[in-house]
Amino acid sequence: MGTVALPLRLPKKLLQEIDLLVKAGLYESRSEALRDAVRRLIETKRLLLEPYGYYRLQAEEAVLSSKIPLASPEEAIERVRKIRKELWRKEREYFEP
Amino acid sequence: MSLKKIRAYLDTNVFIFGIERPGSDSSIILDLAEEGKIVPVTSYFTLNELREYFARTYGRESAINAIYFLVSLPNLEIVTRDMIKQEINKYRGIVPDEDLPHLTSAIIARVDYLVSYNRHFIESNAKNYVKTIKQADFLEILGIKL
Repeated sequence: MGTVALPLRLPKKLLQEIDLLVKAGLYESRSEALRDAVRRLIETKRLLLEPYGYYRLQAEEAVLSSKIPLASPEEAIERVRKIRKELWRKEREYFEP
Repeated sequence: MSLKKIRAYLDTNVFIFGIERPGSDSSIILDLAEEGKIVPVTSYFTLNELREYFARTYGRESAINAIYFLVSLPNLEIVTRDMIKQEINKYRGIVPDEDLPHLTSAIIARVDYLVSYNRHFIESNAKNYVKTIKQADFLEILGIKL
């Protein structure tokens, strides 16, 4: 997917903060840091913007477009059970009397 | 006068089957929840399991969408990890340990039904504490499916 250059005005202080992140090695460039910031912004705000039902539809479409064949109900229940056991193993200490 | 809405603890398999299988009993239950016709109750553990299942099977983006869908349900109640910790020891031994957080959550939330395909809820003494019921039977009670 191609990229588009945008003219952008930022407060100097904000730019300095971004440069600090780049200098610390968290990002390779200012552009990469800003792309990440925009992605995070969209991820956190879109719940407020998207029409009702959007997320269910998106999740359903992920299933439909998946190359993985849909598991039988018994297999799906077994997968959930496996995940449940795994997650419980990680959590159970917290719930010990 | 408005009738009291049925409060239903929806186990993780309701969300998974409902999203994976449009038109299924689970999917109809999610429709009812979306339309605000029942009060959906869930827990910290449901969110974790749902995220993990979708991330492993369909990728991270679909897991995010599944979670966003769940948390955008109207009237949703989520039983937190801390609330479960305070009560869980009262119910040990009724169901396998890994199912216990869900049973505890349903009891804490005083739901009318715990809806699940999980036989450990359906066939155990869990029903002495909360009405455990499969998806199709829940719809039958609501008069939606015979």
